Amino acid sequence: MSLIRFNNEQKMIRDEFRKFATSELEPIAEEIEKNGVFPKEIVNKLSELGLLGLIIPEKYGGVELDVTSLCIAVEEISKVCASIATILVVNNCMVAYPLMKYGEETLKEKYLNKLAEGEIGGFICEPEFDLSEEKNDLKADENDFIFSGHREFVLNGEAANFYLMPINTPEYTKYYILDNDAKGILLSQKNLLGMRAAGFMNAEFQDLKLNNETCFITEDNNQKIQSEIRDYANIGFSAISSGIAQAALETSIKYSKDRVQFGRPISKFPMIQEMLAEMKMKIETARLLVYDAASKIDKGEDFSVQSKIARLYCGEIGVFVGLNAIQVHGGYGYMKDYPLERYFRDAKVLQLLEASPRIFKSKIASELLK
Amino acid sequence: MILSDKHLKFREKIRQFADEVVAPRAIELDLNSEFPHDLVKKMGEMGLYGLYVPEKFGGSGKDTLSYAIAVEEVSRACGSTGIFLAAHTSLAVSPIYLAGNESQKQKWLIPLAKGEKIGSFGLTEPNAGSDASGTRTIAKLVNDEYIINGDKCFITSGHVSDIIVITATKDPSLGYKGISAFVVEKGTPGFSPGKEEDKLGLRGSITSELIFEDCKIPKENLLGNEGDGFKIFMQTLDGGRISIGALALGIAQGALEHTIKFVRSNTISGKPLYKEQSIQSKIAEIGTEIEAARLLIYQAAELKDAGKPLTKVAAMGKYYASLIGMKATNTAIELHGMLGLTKKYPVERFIRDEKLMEIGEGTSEIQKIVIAREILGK
Repeated sequence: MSLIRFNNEQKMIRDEFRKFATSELEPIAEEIEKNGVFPKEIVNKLSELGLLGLIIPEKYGGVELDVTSLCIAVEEISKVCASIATILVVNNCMVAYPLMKYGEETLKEKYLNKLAEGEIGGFICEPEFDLSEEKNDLKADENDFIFSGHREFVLNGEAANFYLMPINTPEYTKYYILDNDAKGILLSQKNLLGMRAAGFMNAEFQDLKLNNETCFITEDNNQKIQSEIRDYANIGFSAISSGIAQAALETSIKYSKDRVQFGRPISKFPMIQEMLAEMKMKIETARLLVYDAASKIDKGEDFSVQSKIARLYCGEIGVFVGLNAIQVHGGYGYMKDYPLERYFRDAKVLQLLEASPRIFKSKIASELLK
Repeated sequence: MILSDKHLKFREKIRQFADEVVAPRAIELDLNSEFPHDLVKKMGEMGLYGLYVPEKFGGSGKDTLSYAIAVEEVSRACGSTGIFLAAHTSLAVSPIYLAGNESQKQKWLIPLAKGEKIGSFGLTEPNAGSDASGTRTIAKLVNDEYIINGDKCFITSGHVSDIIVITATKDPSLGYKGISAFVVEKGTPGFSPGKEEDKLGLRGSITSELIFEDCKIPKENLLGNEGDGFKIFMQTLDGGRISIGALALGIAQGALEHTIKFVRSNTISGKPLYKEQSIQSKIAEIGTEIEAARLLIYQAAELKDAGKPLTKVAAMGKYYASLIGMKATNTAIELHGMLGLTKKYPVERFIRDEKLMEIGEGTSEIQKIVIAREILGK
């Protein structure tokens, strides 16, 4: 018996999302990614179904599902369109979760209800490196901060009604909520390797007022909270990688049975069989990691190491499976008429999105060496 | 191996051209799927298409090693320009040089080697990819003409080619034995380029279908004898592997250099990135693998120049350079973090371009079969 066991409710969720993905997303997935268009209509549909606030408690109008169910939904959607799955994960894990866990009641009431009603939350990523050519400037006012500078990645940027903006320094962490019409924000479209329909934006800030009234988490010893928020999102993102990999494998299995070379289907060749077997092996391992990490959250256990392992592994095998799926398809895999190259591009973006494999590894090691 | 002064000087010249002329065009070629007519012309003027072709046939009378160096250096700046150079030379110049008679060489080799005409090679078909014996394009001799019928696909530079070397069979049931090689010129009635492909990478290069419908060519357009097609394309692909290996190597080298620049100029929490041991470790790995790949490819080129068997080493060079090239470009993106996913840095283009090197002119799986056969015997 598999270690991954879904209860009846979870099975229902899986079937429902699978149906939704096939009937609503499949027809548009290729096109929205090609044109880099944020799928507004589909996102509206998702929000009507309450899917943007899956984990939000019922008292704030949400569906209040557990993280395992969220992963099930995310996997099913990612098999068809990883961009849309990303929108969902950002909304739930990166915006709703920190608010749920650390927001004050007034903020929760206001913003969680908005999310549950179908508004979209954006997340303004902190820069990973200090770029030599970039200058960011944070000035303290009496009660507020004034920020001028640049942020390379705003997740869900294109359609967000409000954004969460973390400001981290060695001394403190602050999470600000900014309305999308706040003065001093200029967003522009990003042209990325993949996930082109996920609505990632670039942001320039000019004298942006960061208001302490819409700020939560003001102290963060050793960036523990920030880490925890990331770890939570890691699980959602790892489910996307796993979903993409599954789609890439399915497509490869089908193709290898149809494609005849040297007088037989290429699925008869041991080299192809080995590739398929390796892809499957990695996907199975990845899924175990995703659902193990998810169940740790659902059971209220510490998930910091498991979620990093899941994210690292799923990110890596998403790319591995994506590239191998192209390889099974040969020249066809390289062409945009087939979805393989999109799977690979999306998987690569996902591996690095709000994640640094290098840092994850060092954090896992420090946990081991404690 | 140590490059001679002659080769070092040549490399310097090409590197300068690549840095000053090719690199500034690379981004827009990729973004706009633009074919670089200007660079194609320039490379012709520099004599890059006939590096190992004698001067009397329009070449520059150098050697295969120079050619490998040229492909590597150009690809270090732009994979699309590199694949043009590689396909034109290895797949059009080469088979005519190898198998053409004197008058064919006068007619086609000279303008190709000089870059006055653009060439391509039509081998792959929808149902004949790795398995070229599955060729279904038919060439029927009627009086003094061959009548060609069939479709070719994934042909590099197909749409813009003036001179196309194709393979076709007298009878598909004969397998390899039935295949011959022909030259078809642009504008021949019955020949038309079909669909242009939209691809993951190498977006500044053209990949197209070629369609032949009762296309009549003079019987003088046959290369070698009837039934020589298999031999000709096997030899062509042996040489082609050197150039695809050099291409993979050049892209990997480009990715490494851009990554070095990135980690040297940026910091994390005040510490320069290049001082991080985990980053040094990755740079050391890909740096080592790139050097090793270069040795294999240069070795294959020297074997070819010496007229010695090169099948094994050429296949190893292509297999290994594309394998480590994927790792190098993948690692390059990782070391750039999320920024590596943006068009601000060229590393995401490098990985898209590099992936074709594991597929084109014989997939890595086919290379392994070739290598195993060479090592184990038949």
